[in-house]
Amino acid sequence: MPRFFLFRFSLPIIFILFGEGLPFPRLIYAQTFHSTAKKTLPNSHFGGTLKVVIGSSTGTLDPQIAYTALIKTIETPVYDTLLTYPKLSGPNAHPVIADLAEAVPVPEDHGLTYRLTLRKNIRFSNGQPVTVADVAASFRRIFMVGSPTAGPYYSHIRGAQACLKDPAHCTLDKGIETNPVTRQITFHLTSPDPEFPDRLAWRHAAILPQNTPTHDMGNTPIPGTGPYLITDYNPTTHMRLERNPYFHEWSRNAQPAAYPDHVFITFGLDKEDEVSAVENGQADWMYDNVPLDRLGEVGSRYTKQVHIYRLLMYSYAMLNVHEPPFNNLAVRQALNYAVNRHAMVIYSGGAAIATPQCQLLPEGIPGYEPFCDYTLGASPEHPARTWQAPDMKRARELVRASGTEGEKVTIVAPAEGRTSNTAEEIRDTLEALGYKASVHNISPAIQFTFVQNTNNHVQISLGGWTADYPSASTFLMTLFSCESFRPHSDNSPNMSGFCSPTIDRMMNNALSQTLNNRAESNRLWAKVDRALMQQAPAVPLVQTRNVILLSKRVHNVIITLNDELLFSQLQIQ
Amino acid sequence: MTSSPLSPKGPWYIAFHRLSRNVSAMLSLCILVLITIACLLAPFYAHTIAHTDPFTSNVAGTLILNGKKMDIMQPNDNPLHLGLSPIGPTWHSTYFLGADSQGRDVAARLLYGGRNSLLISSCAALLCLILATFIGVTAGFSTKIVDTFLSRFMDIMWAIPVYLLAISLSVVTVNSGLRIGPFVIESNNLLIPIMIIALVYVPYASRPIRGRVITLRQAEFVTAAHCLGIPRWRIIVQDILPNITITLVVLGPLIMAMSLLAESALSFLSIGVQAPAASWGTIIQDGEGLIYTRPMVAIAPGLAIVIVVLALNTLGDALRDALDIRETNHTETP
Repeated sequence: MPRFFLFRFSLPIIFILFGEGLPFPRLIYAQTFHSTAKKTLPNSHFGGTLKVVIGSSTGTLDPQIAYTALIKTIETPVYDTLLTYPKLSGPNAHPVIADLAEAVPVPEDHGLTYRLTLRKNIRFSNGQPVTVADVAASFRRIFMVGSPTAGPYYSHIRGAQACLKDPAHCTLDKGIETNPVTRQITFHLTSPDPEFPDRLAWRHAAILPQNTPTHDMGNTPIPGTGPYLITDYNPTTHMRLERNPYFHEWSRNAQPAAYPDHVFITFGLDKEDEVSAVENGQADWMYDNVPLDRLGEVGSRYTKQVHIYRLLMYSYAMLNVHEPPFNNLAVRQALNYAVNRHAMVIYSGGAAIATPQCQLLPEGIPGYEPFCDYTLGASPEHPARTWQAPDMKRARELVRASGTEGEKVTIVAPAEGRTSNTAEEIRDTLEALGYKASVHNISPAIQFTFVQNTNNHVQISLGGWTADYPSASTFLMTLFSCESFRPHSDNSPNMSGFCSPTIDRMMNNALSQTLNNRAESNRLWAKVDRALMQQAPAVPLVQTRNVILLSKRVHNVIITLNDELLFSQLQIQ
Repeated sequence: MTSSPLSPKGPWYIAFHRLSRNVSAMLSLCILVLITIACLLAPFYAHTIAHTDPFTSNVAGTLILNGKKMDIMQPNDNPLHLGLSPIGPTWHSTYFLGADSQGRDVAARLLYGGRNSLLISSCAALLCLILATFIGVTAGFSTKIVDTFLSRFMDIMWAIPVYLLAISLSVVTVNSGLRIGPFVIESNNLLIPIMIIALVYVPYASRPIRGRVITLRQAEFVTAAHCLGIPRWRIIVQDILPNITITLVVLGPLIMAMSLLAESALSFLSIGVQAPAASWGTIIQDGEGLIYTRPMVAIAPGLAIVIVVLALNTLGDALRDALDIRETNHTETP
């Protein structure tokens, strides 16, 4: 920090001599931008430092590798993709719009070809112009760095299979054609992927300089094209973002100019301390959810500073269909009938924050049609619209019919307050159904991979799933398709091991309709949702909302379905 | 037949007489007895008085209070309807100290938790003293090589912070239990925290025992027993062990107090008593998330720990004072 101040005021000329390697003089450009932006948005308040508090960082900053909500939120105003979701509140937040591309491509050749044109005059934060070569290199890098979504999202690109097998020699030369003169980028696919535009908008497809090393950059920020650049990062203490001196607003809906000059993020605070820091005006935004015991306090004393928004996520108990007793459909249905979702809502903070979840698509996702098969007075044949109460009588009958009473069941849950309570509740429910149930709490850091691997013989696990982008496939295909079940692997998101060729066909059918007939596609996804729930590979529990607390001096809160809170749009007064 | 008024009073009689005149010791003893009785009556309290199952979640439940039906989890009074808080102390037979975050009766859990905490700490203290006696007597009464080996081993154990060692051992056993040859102890078995806590405090108890044994080994009556050709094991049983009883009696309450604190710490960290069973440590952990809204959930078991530890320490000090007569007069039992 002292070195920063020394250079900031005394040696701006060094920047000219040594180029982008030195982060400090960027403030000069920020000032320039400040005055330009003011002209474009006269009623807005630019400037200031946004102070953010976060419990802990979550590892690598590499936008093509990081797969956490935190890094996604932080890097939304740092990196751009060819397409993106509109930075708008409410239902206008999808479908995709053009970001670094000039327009959303129309699929050609029966969905096997997508042509895009790169916008002109866009530069990375190091001053380097963005070229079509950067675009091609960025897509190659997805495979070379082993991005977690390289296989699931980009394997349709011609040559991708070879890249998955031999990432070091990935070329994608037949999959991506570029023309530097016309700035055209053409993607060739091996088979139609109706969600390809969504994949282009997914953050792992961020466009990076072509000379970016092809390994995980860890704590070293990579230059991006957004309104901010990360200038300082220590995962245990802090992160600093400053204005990207080369940024200019090309599309307000795709990547709006930022209001605060600086963003300073402090890591390592306890959630209770985060609340106190915001209440006392020492911080402007607590990233983490307000802890349950402080909800009453913030709800009564800081009403205007509280923002509640729905997430495309729900929590569930995943039932392993290959492990007894859940290899028996009757047992899976019994647990769905028996779970008290009202209790789950209470554990999540009450009806203002959570709603009972009966199905495998959350509210807000295209294709969502509310129904509840497993509640008092309902059945898969005669579903109710909403959850009413547990049906213990029906559940006990099913368990008795299955002949599995008395078997041992171990619930694997992350050792974390709310989930531990949920696990205890499910344990009690299983005991009430006649099983010998116990809870195995393990570190949240390893729980997700542990429950995916079939070698661990997990019978039932607790977790939550958030959409990568607003699409039914990110829930139903990712969690329940045969393709996403990989035995003996830590990377098998189909944790229940459920595989039905019939339902897979239904899913592919729904997916194929995405581009041509979205309404029909949504109807088919709703049908898949119902078909899956009849097989009960999971027990959906609750859909929750986020409760965030902002300081008094913060205004212009924009929360989108896909990107959550856009902190670049917060105005500090 | 009555004893003669002139017959000399035994050292134990004198010690008991002294102890009974020590007001703080007697008060501590009464508190310990009362708490133990209350904890033993936990099932009676839960089923007959509070009419509750302290091991089952009850967040969606209700209770009747003053003829009025109330939710156990009550909505917070705020315009945004954010959050719910468990019911606070009712000061009635049911939910006397309120509910925890899973809607369970804190008072009933406190009593059940006390049973586990007291059982673990007393058994751990007993096991620790047995192990420490074995090591202390072996080291103090054996050849120099054995003494050096055992003493240095104890020094090494002493060098490791007690809680660090206890946490390390607990983390290893909390997931898969303990396998000793053909015997498997499940991870939720109370024997695991008992053994771990006993083990980590062995160096603290074995050192004073060894010192006492070395002193006794040089005593005249032991030398005389050697000269008479009495086997070593018999000397240990008949001459040494009775004379280290005082040390053990004094160490007992102190080790138990330390064991109680260790057990609470391990349970607070979720590596001691496993849910749904309770101990005072686990109840404090349950109350951690409610410290702003329902502090009683954490305060009640915390207070119980403080009172029991204070009482045990006071009793330990009083026992040492009362039994000092045997140390000062050197009236070892031959």
